[in-house]
This record gives sequence, structure tokens and C-alpha cells, in this order.
Amino acid sequence: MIGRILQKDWRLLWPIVVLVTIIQVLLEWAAYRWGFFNEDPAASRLLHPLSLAWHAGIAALVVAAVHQDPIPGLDHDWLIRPLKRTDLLLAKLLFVALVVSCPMFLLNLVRVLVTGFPLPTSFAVVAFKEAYVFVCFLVPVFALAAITASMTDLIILCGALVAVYASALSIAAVLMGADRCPTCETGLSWMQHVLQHVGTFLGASVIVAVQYYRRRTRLSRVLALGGVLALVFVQLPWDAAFNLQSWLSSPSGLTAPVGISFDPEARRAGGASRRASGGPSGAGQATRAFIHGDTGGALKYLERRTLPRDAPVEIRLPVQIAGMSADELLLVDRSDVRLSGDDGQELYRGADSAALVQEGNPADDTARGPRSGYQGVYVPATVYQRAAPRDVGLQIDYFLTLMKVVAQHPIAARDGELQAADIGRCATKIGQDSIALRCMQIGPTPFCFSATLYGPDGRHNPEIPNCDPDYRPYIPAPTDPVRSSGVDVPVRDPFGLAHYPVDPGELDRSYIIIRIYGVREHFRRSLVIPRIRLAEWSERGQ
Amino acid sequence: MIIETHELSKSYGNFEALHRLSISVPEGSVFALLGANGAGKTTVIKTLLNIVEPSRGHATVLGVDSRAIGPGVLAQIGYVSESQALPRRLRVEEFFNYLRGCYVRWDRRVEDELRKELQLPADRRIGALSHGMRLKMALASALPFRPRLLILDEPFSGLDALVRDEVVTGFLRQAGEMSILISSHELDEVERIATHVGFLDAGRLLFQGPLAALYDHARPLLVARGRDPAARMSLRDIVVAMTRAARGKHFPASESLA
Repeated sequence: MIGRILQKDWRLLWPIVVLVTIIQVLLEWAAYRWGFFNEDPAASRLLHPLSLAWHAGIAALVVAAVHQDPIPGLDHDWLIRPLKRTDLLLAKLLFVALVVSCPMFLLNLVRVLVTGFPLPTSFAVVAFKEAYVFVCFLVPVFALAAITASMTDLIILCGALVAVYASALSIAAVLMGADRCPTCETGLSWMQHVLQHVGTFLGASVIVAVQYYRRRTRLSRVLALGGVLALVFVQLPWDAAFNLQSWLSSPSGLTAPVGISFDPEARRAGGASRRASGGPSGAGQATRAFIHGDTGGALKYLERRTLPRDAPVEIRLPVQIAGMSADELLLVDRSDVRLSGDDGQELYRGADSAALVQEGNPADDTARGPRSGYQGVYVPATVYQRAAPRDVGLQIDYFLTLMKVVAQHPIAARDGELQAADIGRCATKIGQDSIALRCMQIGPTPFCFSATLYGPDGRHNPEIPNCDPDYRPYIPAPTDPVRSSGVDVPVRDPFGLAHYPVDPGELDRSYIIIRIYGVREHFRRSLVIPRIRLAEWSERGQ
Repeated sequence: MIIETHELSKSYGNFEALHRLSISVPEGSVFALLGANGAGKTTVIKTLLNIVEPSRGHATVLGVDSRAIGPGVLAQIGYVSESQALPRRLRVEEFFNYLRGCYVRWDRRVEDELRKELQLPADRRIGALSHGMRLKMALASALPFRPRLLILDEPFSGLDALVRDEVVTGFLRQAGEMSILISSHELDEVERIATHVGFLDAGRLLFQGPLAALYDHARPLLVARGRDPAARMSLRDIVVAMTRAARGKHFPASESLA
């Protein structure tokens, strides 16, 4: 019977299947044409609209397949035919797999192979991606289709669910503030995503089962509504997430010998150039960020100079970080700041309001031994006004990740090409003021790597890091099995402010070392300063 | 009995669509469910087919509890309804091709005969068929597997006299020994074919029994309203009189059963 239903649905829906497949072919073509360096601007302009059209197309196809034999309603022909509900459900799921997942799998596989990745890895990665898309996108769409009888019904229902979701988000933001999503925008956000995806899949499966075997549409719609609210309000607590991540990365419980201490002497050593603060001034920070190719960071530092009076006040504390080797890097996943008065009464508590900036360069031999850095703490202006003139206690609880170089790969600075299992395929292209290093990878991708330009004489420019903490084991992107990453390595400063050791005229003989960092350990540390006067450590206090 | 209901009730919120209905449909009979609009006829049928779940009471169809009706029982039930939502984009031939795989006992010869008799165009999409043609198609799809029970929910609604006659003739020819449950406003057609009658009003069963018994039951009502006891009573007269009697003076004289 499954075959009959499949045949019927194919006869009814083949034009949509053909249309969606054409969109998929165009999408693959545009993605292929993008290449390493966006060689085909016309194709790249099409990528976004094609991706939207493809998402809409496969969703419409799933909905149309389910709606050929709608579950809600009393007059549909299938209700009075001798069809096993299981056959009907399997036929629909199989149809979706055959007309959405299979073409997607084949086209993805062809593009990945043409891009130059090996067949066994490509097959496994693309198959995993299609399974993931099926479970996390197609099944939930299937469930929504199963609780509606027509496309109009579905649009109204989705509109209502989106409205509920947006309202719940607003309410949660008002009620819970920053605690609404403790892991969001951190390297641990993957756990929340997995929790949401697993929850969505399980919820969708329950709805599909209730609909196909019980036809309780009202109950199913209530379940869908509950699922939407759960997406907003069910959040993984930070401590639990971090503990789990620590266990996953280092089940043996090894502890890195890393320590962070307050280093007030560094200010004196820094001299007048550092003014009253523990770290460099905003202009200095901007220049430093610019030299390291971090244009966004440079602009951020400059913007800070023009903040209004009621903006949070930055306290810059010089710190020393000990126990790290030259090939290690410390990432701050979260830092909780607590200010208390003489009597121990809490004046302020905030999360993610502290940023630890490490000075020194892992690519330098000089980076051995304790590293200096500074800790930026942002406190609300009202709290600062009350706390600045007197001694207060400051405690910063860090949730840290120690990264270590796990692999290094050289690549020619000019038109270099590289293929490595851990970073995929990379290429370089020299631009006017920088070298573009771009990589494409299928499967797990390093989230933290750096590029350092070395001249033929062994001198090197500053290391340009590219770290976007993401500790997920591996979750593919729904549209594209190929992940792109890259950095621009500056070779000259068009404004003449920075001078780089490597001569731009020697780029033909220069090369770039790509350092790939892997997680060594996640751990916690606390920095406790029993007495400190905030006014002495902020620019506003001077 | 091919169908039996016991104290069957169905409520939608505060509205009681069926009230403690106990109906018995003898095997081999043509049982007509009669009643005005909203009397509950369609709700009874949907409940019997396990499309609607009863609020209280229970029903058995072909000896199986209606809530447990599955493919095995549905393979023995033919169903035709004016509101049946057929797959509009399928062509007639494609639809029959699909149905042939659904029924083990599908008789291609009966299908061909019916399609020829009812002049169903093989290449037309179902959505492009007229209302009458769609009803003919529903009928032609309900008979070739020789169901033990045929359920017809307003099968003549919206058909002109000629088509109605074709349809009645068509299914009478194929009906054979099957039991039939029919709900219809077309009382003249019902009178031609029904052997038993159940009379519903506002979800309550006012009468059930052989058609002849209905005449005996209704005669005093009509006589009381000034009809000649010796005059011939039509089913229409009886239904109108019984409905009026059931609703008393609240029943507006202008209300039509159709």
C-alpha cells in the first residue's frame, strides 16, 4: 500500500519536486562558483535568495505531501479507505526522504567531490548532514503539516506560533534578563541547540504519532504551542553546561596549572603612556587591534571614547596569567563579576561583563613565562558613582578554556594551496594590503586557528587569530556541508602607522604558518581583590 | 444486525449533536436515516465510521466496535458522501488505479461497468468534474470491491432528476445483497429503495422500524391534521408531520426539509 500512496503523491506533486530540485541544482552551482575567494559575484548574489527559496520549497513540498491526505477534517477520502495508518505515515515520510533528502544528498555529494574532497569522508559527512536535516527540519515541518489541513491553515498556525514565540522571548527578556539564555553566544551554545533540536524532534514525533494514530488535532496544537514556549523557557543552566563540557573534553579531571592574579605593579611599569588605567588607552587598543587585522575590534575601541555619561564604565585591571606555555591560548567563556562593600554587602553582580585581554603573542618566543594582560570590567554608571570613591571588594569568577596548538601547516603566501585533514582545503591570494587566506572544510572544522606571515629570512608579522569559540562535537549547517573560514593577513598599513617585519616585496618567497588550536581543557578560576578603589583604575576616575 | 448503536451520544462543547441514540440496522436492509438539517444524520455516519469519536455510548459496525474500526472493516464498507473530499488533481483513471491497490476484493469488471454506465471520463481531473460527476465517481469507487455495507450520506444532493435516476439505477443494479445505510433529503428516491427507516430530530431518534410500520405510526398524526385516512401518504408528508409534531408550535410552517 505504501507504494500506491507514494505513486499517487508523486503524480500529484511531481511539478513541485522538479521545481525544488532545480532550485537545489542552482544553489549547488552558486555555492560551487563561490569558490575560495568569491570568484563569481553573480553566483554569490544568488546564494542568499536561492537558499531562502530552497528552504521554502522543501517546506512547501513536505506540507503538500502531508496535505494530500490531511489529518484534521472529517471529509477526506483516505478516512474511509482501508489504509493502515502506519502505511500512510511511512509513505509520507518515505516520499519526503525520496524527493527531498535523496536529491539533496546526491547534489551535495557531487559538489563536495567536485570541490576536491575525498569520497569516503564526503559520503559520510553529506549522509550525516541529510539525516540531521531530516530529523531537525523536515520532521518538525511534517508535524506542523499534520496538524493543519491546508496551506492557509498552516500559514495562520505558523503566524500564531511565531507571535507566541516572539511574545515569550520579550517576556523572558523582561523577567530573566541576561539569564534568559545562559549559554547563548558562548562556545557552549551548541548544547542549548542540541537540547532544542532533540526537544523539537521528540515533540514533532509525538505530534505526528498523536495525529496519525489518534487524530487529536486540538491536543497536538496544544503540544506545538507548549513546544514553542519550551524553546524559550527551557534553558540549560550555565554551571551544568560548563561542567558537562569540562567532562566531555577532559573526563580524567586534569587541571591546567593556569593562574590569574592582580598585578598592580604593571601600571607603574607601563609608565605615562598607559595613563591611569591598567591597560593601554582606547586609542592604543584600537591601534593594536588594527595592527592585528582586527578592524571591528579597533572600531569598537574607538567608539568607546565617545560613549555617553550613563554608559557602563570600564575598569581596567592589570593582571598576570601564569602557567601557560608558548603554544597555548586562553579563552574566557564567561566571567561573573561581584563587587562588595566594606561590610560585605553586595553592590553589584553581573555576568559576561568582564573581558580578559592577553598581551604577548603565542608565535613569539618571548611569550614564555607569565603573560601580562588586563582585565576589563564594565559596571553600570550608577554603581560606579556609588562605589568609585571608596574601597570595595572585587571578585571575578572565570570559566576558561585553554587552547593548545595541535597542528601547524605552511602555505605559500602567493597563490598557495593546502589540503589537510584537520582544516580542509585552503588557498591564499594576495590583495592590495593583505593576503586573503580562505579554507573550506567538510565535517568538523577547527573553530580557532591563526595565521602568521613569515618572510624568507624567518622574520614574521604578528599572529592573526581567528577564534570563534564553538565547542560542539559536530553539527552540520542545514544547507551546505562545506564550511568556509578564513582570515586576512595584513602586509602593509595603508595609513603608514604600522610597520611589519616582513617586506611586502618578498611575498613571493614568504609563507604563512596556519596554527590550529584545539581545546586542552575547560576549567574555572577566581580572581579576588579584597580592597580596590575603582576610581584609580578607570579613565573616568581621572 | 449489521449496525447497532447503544445510547450513542456526541457533544460539541455544550451542543449535543446526538442524544442517547440506539439504532439497529438489520443485515440486508436498506435503512434510511431521515431528519431535517442538523438532525444529526451525518454525525451518526461519521461516528459509525470512526471518523468522529462518540462522547458516550458505543456502536458496532459489522460486529466491530466503531472505535476499533480499521482497514479490515473499512475494506467491507463502501461510502459515498456529497461532501467527500476526493483528490482533485488526480485524473479519474489515476484515482481508480490508486484504489485498485487499496482493496483486495476489487472487481475490475464491476468498475468498468460502472464507469461505462455512469460515463466517467478517464482523462479528466477530478477537480474539473461537475458536482454530479464527482458523486457518480464516488459511487463508482464505492462498489467495485463489493462491500457488505454501503453508507450513503446525502448521495443525491444537488443532482438533477436525470442524474439522480442514473445514480439510483446504477447502485441498485450493483447493490445485490449488501446492506445500505442512506441519509437523504430526497425522499422520493429514499421511498423507492428503503426497507427500514430511522427518524431523527435534534439528535434524538423519534422512530425506527420497517418503512411500512412508519406509515402506520404516522397515520394518526396526519389524520389528526385533517387528512383523509384512506388517502395515500407519501414519505414527505410523514416526515413533515412527524417533524412538526416533534417540535410542536416552534416548527415554522415554511421550513423545508431539503
